[in-house]
Amino acid sequence: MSEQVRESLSALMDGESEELELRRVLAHKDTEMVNQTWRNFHRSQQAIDGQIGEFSHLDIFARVSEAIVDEQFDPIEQFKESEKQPFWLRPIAGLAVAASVMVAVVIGVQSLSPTETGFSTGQPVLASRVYPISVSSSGVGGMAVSAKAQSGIGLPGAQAAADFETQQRLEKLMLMHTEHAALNNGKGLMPYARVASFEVE
Amino acid sequence: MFKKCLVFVVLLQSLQALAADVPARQWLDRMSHSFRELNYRGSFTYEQGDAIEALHITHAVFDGKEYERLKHMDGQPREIIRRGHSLTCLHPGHRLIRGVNTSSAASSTSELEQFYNLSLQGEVRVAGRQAVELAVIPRDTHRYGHRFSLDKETGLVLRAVLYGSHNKVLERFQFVDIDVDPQLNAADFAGDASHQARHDETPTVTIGDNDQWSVDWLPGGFNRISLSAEAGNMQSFTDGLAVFSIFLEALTASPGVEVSAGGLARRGATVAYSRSLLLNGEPHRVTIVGEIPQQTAERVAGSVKTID
Repeated sequence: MSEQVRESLSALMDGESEELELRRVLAHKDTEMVNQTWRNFHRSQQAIDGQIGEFSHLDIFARVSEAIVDEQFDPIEQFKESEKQPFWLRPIAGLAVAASVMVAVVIGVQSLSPTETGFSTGQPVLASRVYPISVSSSGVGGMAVSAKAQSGIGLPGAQAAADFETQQRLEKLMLMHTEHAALNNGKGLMPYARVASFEVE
Repeated sequence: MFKKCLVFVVLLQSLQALAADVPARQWLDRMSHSFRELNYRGSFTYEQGDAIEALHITHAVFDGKEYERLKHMDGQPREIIRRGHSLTCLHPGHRLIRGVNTSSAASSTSELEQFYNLSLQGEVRVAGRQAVELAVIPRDTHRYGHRFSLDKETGLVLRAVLYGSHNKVLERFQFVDIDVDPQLNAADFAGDASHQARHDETPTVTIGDNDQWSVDWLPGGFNRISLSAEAGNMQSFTDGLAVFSIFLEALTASPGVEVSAGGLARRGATVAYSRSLLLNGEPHRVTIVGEIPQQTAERVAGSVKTID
């Protein structure tokens, strides 16, 4: 076992190894030797720290191998695939995987948000598609209103216009309500402030 | 609308009859009229969601008429001036807080307390003044919670916070400093005519008068606010603290024209929810706007019906 591999292993233990070093360790042919060195390093470290070697029995290769098997990686199939593909195409497969992971993350966040706000749609709406637009009033003090239209008909272009129309309409109704409510609840000035905040163009 | 006001004396008598009630109720009662009856001048902030505004208010009563000037301190200079709202005019919200039921049924306990739990929570200092902390917690999920800091001397609201589900703050109103009973005269409320607020036309189509439609379901404690004849397609309801309005309009669907039937908008505590509905076989759009949870708005919207 070369000094280079020992150094790489040491760096790996300290969490300072680079990818190249990690590959060097994993590619080493004498698995048992690497395992033994790994365990020795840990024992030394633990002896220095005065800890009991409760992790000394761990087999790093076995664990990593198990993890790879769990991913249902088929080396033969993969080999055939890479033979068929031109070399420059290969990284794209990796990108696709990364992209699909991203999509999964985005979907996860989307499905979480309704429970966070504590609201759920109790009634069926006309369309399940969500088309959010948010329009912020210009100037300081402008309150952002977000509205989404729910409609069963129309093309995407028409939908945007309909959303804008919906937004305008709902804002008008909100102002009418707010003006009326200001006179009709006993909460004091807050409703008036609400009216005032609508006066922003 | 202003013509329908009650005589103040009648209300004072009802007030005395209820005076034996818990102190928390009395604070709420004080709050509901002090801001209209006193003279004061001060600056306050108003937060909605993550936006904040600074405003300056001047309020006075001359010869039994209310004068109010609300000035924006940020952005474009603009202000709202209200002149001459008669003080003897009481609206349903105030009556509900005072325990005077809008319906004829006389109840000894405030209807408000059937739906909110009121409790005093010690004293705090707000805008340099001693204030009493009053928590108003809803007993069901159809309304929001409030926390008021009321001036110990006058009962004025110095701070008001509106809480949604999971104690999320939806709105916060707070005085930064306030001058109670300053020297004011009518000239303080003189406004430039060019800055008069514009009144938008009603954007909806009237289908008839209010008596042609109603709702099957209302959250408990909400009473209808009587409206003038011109508000034919609008009905408002209040439980004394929260207010919501229902707008109904006929949908005229012509081929090729996109009709956006539904929608949802939110602005601080105010939610606006629209959906389409078939009334007498005709498509209609019903919109609920108010300071109520979205689920409640949806349920009310679904219960609109015509009266045969």
